Amino acid sequence: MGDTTFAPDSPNTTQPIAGRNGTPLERRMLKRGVPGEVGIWAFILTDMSVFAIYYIVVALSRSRQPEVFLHGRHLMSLPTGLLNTFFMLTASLFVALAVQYIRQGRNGTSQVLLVGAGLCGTGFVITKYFEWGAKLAAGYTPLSDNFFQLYFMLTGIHLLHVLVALVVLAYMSRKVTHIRQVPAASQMRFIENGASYWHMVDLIWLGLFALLYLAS
Amino acid sequence: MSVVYIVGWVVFARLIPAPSPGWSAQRLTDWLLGHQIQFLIGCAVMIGAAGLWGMWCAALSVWTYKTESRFPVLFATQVISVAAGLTFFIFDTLFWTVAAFRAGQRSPEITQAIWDVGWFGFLFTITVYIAWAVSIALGILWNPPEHQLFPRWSAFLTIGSALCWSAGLLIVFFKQGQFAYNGGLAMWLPLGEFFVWLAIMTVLGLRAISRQEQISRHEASQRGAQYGVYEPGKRDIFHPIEDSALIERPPESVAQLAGQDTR
Amino acid sequence: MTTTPVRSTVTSVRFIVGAWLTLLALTLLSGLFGAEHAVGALGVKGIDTAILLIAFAKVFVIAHAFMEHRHAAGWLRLSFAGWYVLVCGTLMALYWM
Repeated sequence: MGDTTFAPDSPNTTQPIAGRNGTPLERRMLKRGVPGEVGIWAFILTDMSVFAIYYIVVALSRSRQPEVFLHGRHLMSLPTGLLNTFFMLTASLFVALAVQYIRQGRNGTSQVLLVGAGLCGTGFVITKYFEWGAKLAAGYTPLSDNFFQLYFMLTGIHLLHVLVALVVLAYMSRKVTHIRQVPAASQMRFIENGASYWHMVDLIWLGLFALLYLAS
Repeated sequence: MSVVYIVGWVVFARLIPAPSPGWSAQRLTDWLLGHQIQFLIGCAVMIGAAGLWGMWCAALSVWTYKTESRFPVLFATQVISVAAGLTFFIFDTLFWTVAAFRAGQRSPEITQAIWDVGWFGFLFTITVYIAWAVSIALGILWNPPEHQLFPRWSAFLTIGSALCWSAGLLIVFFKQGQFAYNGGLAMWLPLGEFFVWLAIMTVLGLRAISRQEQISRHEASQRGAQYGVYEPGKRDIFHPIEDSALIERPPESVAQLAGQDTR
Repeated sequence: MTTTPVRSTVTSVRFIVGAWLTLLALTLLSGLFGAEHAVGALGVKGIDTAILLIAFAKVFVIAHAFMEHRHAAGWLRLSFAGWYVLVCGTLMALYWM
């Protein structure tokens, strides 16, 4: 693959005491580089830890009330879950490809890909709307039992993440229109930040899918 | 503050595990009566801790103030949000105390109602904390690089934490389960995460202070030692200024104050 | 803002699409496991373990290929590795109880 460097953070134009990414230790940590900036990974790790706690709580609640969870899982529509997962994975694919094309300077193609990702994200939201609608019509609300409380609340929190991700996507697309041929470091950093956030949203969905739709 | 608060919560008030909103009023009253004096001591300890919190928040907000010269919007937002947040922080313990104060002597329904107000004050008022967190984060992100005393990643951490805390808004729908006001995901997780965030920001704040001291000494050595470590203020009575250029000349007449006289 | 072009290597498009196809395949596989419960030699616990392992394998693929951890700094990969191990381990323990 050769030499890979992600978009570098802004050059440190200040005194050695206060740098853009903090102390000399923190700058050393960046030597190999991360996509985007260090901060977005702090956010991603925080959000992933929060969702990890959500997963563990689902597992704990299940062990306390196995029948409720078994009953709830049987009411879950596996095809809908698979469709949701497909939308998430494909959106991630398009975003990852878009980042590569932006690096190559192929901004037009990347815009098409970003639109594609947006469509997948919207597809996810619409699917979720119908899925929830079906559950509610069948009489299952967040107040029904602990399984449905967790199902609606956790998929709801994830849905909020998706909605934010769609807004981020719009900003990324706008950023791409400002790129002339090859992106500047700060532009690339923003785009990589946004892309990493999208992948995180996809990642946390996979956990929810496994625990709520698949595992007994 | 954190240690004192946690001691009050755990040791005295014995709010682990916290009573569920699904309990009947009578059960709640019995629980409170079961350890009433201890609970009231716990509340007093918790309120004492809350008094210490304001200073910590102020110490955090001055970093934003430092970089916002003329229109300190983010600083003002922080101060306002913290003032509101601190009020709610005390308010919730206050209502728990009042609920316990005459538990058993008045109707259990009244006890429970006051108790519920306390919990809602604790969790449902999270929006001001979110405003506070966002203004801290923006203050760090919008820092010019030469004033970057908090690392940028702490801003992202703060935003992530604010998202975690916002689950507290969901308690309004549930009387049992994970998203009730005693629930794991709506209460314990945000509370725990808040203390983790607080610890991290404290460490970073201490580092920022020592770095600021280095910067001040550096600037002082450039300015000249007789002016002390910090830049002399216009009315700094502790560091008399010899250099007349640095002294603001007092107005010679009322007309000058009104801006009619030109200097 | 500088206009110096970013000097970075392009991760192969084929690699990314390949990762996506792998993810789809793993998803379908876990879907099969999820649909047929308590079947065959594995039993309920076995199937749950398989589902969890596949889910975390997918998480790894996303991090490795999409989030570009292949080229990322050591501390990031270590943090994620810690996350995989802790979370997957805890979940499996809870599902086995």
